[in-house]
Amino acid sequence: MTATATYEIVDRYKEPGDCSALLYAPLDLTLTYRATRRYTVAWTGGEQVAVDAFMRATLLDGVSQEMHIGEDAALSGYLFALDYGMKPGALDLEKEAVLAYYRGLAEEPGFHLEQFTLRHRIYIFGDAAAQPERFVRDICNPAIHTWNVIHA
Amino acid sequence: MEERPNALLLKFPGTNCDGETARALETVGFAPRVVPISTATPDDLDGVSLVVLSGGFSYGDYVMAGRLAQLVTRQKLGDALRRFRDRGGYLLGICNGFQILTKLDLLPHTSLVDTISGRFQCTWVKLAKHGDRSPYLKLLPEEFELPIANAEGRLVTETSEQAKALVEQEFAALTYVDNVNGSFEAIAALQDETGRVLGLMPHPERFLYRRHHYDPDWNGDAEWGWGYYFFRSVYEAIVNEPALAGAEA
Amino acid sequence: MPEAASATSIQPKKPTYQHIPFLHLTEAELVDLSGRMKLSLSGEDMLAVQKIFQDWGREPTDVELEVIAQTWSEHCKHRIFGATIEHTTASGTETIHSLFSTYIKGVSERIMARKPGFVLSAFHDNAGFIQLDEDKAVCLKVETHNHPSAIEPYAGANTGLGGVIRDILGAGKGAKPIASLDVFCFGAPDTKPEEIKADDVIHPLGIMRGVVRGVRDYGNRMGIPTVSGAIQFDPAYIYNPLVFCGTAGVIPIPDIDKTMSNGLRVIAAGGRTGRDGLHGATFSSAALDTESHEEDQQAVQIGNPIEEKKVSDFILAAREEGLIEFVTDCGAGGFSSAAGEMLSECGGEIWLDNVPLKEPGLISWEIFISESQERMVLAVKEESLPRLKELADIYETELTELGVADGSGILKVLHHGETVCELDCARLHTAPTKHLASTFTLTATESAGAVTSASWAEDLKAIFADFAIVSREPIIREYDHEVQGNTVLKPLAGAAGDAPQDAAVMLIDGSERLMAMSQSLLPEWGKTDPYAMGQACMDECFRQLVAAGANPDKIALLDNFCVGNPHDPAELGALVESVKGLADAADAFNAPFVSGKDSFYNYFETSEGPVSIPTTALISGIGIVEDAAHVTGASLRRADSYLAILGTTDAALGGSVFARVRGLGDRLAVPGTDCAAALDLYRRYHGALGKGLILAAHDVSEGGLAVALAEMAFSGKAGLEISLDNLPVNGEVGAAARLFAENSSRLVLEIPAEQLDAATEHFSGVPFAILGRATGGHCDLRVEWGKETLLHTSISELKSLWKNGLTPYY
Repeated sequence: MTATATYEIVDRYKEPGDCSALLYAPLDLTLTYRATRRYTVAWTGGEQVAVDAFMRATLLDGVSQEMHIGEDAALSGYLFALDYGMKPGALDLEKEAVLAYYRGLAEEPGFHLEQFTLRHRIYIFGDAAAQPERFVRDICNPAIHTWNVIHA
Repeated sequence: MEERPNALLLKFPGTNCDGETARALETVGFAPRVVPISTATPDDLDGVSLVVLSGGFSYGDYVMAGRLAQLVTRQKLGDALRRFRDRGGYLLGICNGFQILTKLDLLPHTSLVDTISGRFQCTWVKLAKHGDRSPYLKLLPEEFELPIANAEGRLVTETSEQAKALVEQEFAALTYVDNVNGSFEAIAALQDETGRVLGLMPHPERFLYRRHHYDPDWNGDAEWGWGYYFFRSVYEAIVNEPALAGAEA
Repeated sequence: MPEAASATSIQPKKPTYQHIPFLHLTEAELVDLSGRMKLSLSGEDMLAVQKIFQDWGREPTDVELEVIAQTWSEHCKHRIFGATIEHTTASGTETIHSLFSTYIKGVSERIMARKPGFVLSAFHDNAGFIQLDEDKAVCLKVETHNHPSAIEPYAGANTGLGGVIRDILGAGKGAKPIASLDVFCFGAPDTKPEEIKADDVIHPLGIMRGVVRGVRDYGNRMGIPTVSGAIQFDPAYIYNPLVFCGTAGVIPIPDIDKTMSNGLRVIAAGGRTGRDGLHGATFSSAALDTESHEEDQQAVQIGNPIEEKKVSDFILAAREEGLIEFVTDCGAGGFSSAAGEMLSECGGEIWLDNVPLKEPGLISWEIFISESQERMVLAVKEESLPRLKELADIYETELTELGVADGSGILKVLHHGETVCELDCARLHTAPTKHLASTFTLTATESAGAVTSASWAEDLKAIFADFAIVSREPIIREYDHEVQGNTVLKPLAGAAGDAPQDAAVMLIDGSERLMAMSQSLLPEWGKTDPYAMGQACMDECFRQLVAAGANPDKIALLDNFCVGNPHDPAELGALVESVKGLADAADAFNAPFVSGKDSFYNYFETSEGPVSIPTTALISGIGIVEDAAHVTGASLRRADSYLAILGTTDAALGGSVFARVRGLGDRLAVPGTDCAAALDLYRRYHGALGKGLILAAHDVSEGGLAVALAEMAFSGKAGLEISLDNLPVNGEVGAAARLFAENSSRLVLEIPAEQLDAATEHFSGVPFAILGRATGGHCDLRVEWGKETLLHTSISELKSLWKNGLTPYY
């Protein structure tokens, strides 16, 4: 029986950034963003505590980051968020690095990893007139990415 | 006959400053040996005075700088590095090596994260020395320059008080004179209680020769770059401790 | 077959190759087949292929057709540079039998004959080598990765750099990469989105950010310093950005020559093979249109620098242990072209069953031509295999026994026990010669006349704020330009560590000698006078190397061309003229080309018709610096020194930043270059370096003399007091040209006060003049001509415009 869990990593020390840094032309609106990473794990043969421990040891920096476990968003108060990641067949270097480490372990860490996906999430805050289309166009490239927009 | 103390450079896939670091160690008097992590065992530390984790991008640094190298080092060497430290060994982490050391619990609890500009920064910085604990800094002046090149060089602690304490208790061996990357308390290098374990973001191996400096008229009197005096300091500290030079574990 | 074959014993029932009914197809059917299989072969080509198989009396397999398409692709075969061209100008029509043989290789071979022992290898390996000292040689290779970068800038640039690094690893028996350069041509970063007349075109700012980060993330992780580069901004590059990546390497001289012989084992090392790398070579031989952004996504791969770092560590260790007989990179055409290159004379077998795959189910041709990144192919003695396997384990890279050289002259590819390809290598290299027509008419013949200005200082400020001039510092600092600890003349240097330099200079471990590296491109000149562009690019690159300390008799150059549509006679004509300019300059400078590359079809169908790039030649070069004391920066070092100019200033303003900023029109004549006279100047300059007469030197290029002077003073050491009264000029030269003309062959020199007489004496008989002095009395740039003060402006104000020009965008 396959179980899944989502882990969202938030950097504590990264100040909200000006959205114009994400876009190709200046914005009329005052908008800021925060970026997080969301990892979804599907596993068999183990309890979630073992998965949580593995993810904490592998993905989390206890000094500078917080880990939010669960489907729901780690942050609140945003206008919308953009989730994007490598499309199937496009190399995701971080994902490959984690998988290579997992495969190289002498013994399984208390569960069997079935699937591991990584998505970047960008939360947009500020003027409610903001629309996601420009963010999608300037951040995502259909040649390598898939994406979806999450409305608050 | 002068015995050259042994220096061991651990090399991970993606470590890329081992060549010039070995060159600097050789120049000041060490006998350096680069050991790929795939072949490394605790026995490799026998007879070694200085272990260096040099710069680069271990395993690509994709999850965060140094994380996978930390996990693999624990698998391969267990707590051999801690035992090496406990028996009087010297342990140096430069740039990526510093990032790995902070995760191996051999230095005060800190982390190195993205620079405040979010960019990779390849530039020269002015550094200030703190206290006189460090055997790596004995021959260096109170202020000196070295180059940095990193994207994750901002030193942070869980609370700002912890960073202040690092400075007060002289765990912070070096600070940036201009805080280029937003490090807490402008900390550029950290050491342990003994001073023998040091991690620093700047690259002393890139300022070995005088002509490494960007200004052709730099400090016309010095024969070498500051990096030479950095490595020479720890060399002298080691050869002046006969018990350690050439010691077995 | 070796044991590894049995490891993949679960074999698909589906056949992994097929014979294609081919011998009886009509030309139209052949063209249709070429389109369906994405072979990018013309009707003429397809008929030639058909003839080969008719001679053999059998139908080809799909693998064989794919191999031939790769071998004959523009990317691999450079068929336009080999074409027969009818070139028509005002003086008549001439027939050129191969631009490459006539102008690039022909000229270089003559030069090499004139200086024996300097070039140790040219044109046949992955990069050309020149002698550094008794023991070592250095090489440089530059490649373009334009089309992939247009579609996915990050990935395109990142695999572009990864590819050229593998060229160096595959040069000789494995050269060590020691420095990289990158040159980009983009639309302006402030282009208004509504000015882009096509859907799915990535905005120039997105292209720039992605490309820079792609180079950064690959070069920095590989630990190869990115030390040199250039960026051109022009609206013509909005739809077709150009991305040039180059890498230099060093090798012990005995390891340059490599030969294949019967019985050698062919092995692959590095990354796995997947579908991600299909049809890149044929893709870069076809023009972009909006559809290519959707259809050809498979052509865009993402690089894995750590995979390449591991294979690089492996190859360098194996070469040092003497285990490599032959090595080449796996680039365009994948195993088919790497193995094809190795086995082209010897012949041999390739065993596809052994190839480690990223995903199951690849069919034969996919495995054989996939261009998956980070793979190298080696030929080794059988007895070396055990140690090579150990080294592969130590450096954590994957090693595969791919095949064997057997002396048959036949390239035979086996898969699942069947022969899926069997080609006589000799026939593979007989692609039909293309026949093309080109024309050229010089339109830029006008003089600017007497140009006046309300304020030359305001003109200078406008130039310093122009994208052509502004500091590339935000980008340069993203590249680790100091890793390996050998960068002694850095891209930003001088007393403040942030002033521009003409060339980078690298220490070479184990040698007393150093290597300078630089490059030049002047597409603005090429728009109207491509011959003049060709000469001026050669002069600028050569001059920058000499300025930084290289011996002018020890310089080798590379040519990289990017062209729009070669079937447009005017565009091809511009290429012909620029190649001639280059060749004449090479001959005069006695500086051979040791490598080169070309990229065609850099045009794009917009909603308002096709847009082509201007014919763009990038000249890059390496030069030997024989003594560390010769290394010379471009920044002012003292507050009491003299400033002098070497070379003659011309009245022509065509192609200059000044002419563009002031809107003087596009018909202005572009200055010519007297390369033979220039070489004389450069030798004289080099002699002055040896005598210690020079503190600093900066080439006069974009922005002209006023910009060169101010840039030198960006070190912050002093102000400058300059008079242009004695400026050596060619005819009537007004204030505008004295300040801002960009004609070639000029250097500004800083001369120590105590050497003034010696320097004046040393430069007697050549165009040389003392222009003025550095002064500690103020921090301004003061320039006078006769009684008139042309410029009196604060250097720090100019520096601030220059230094912050790109920061809002990167």
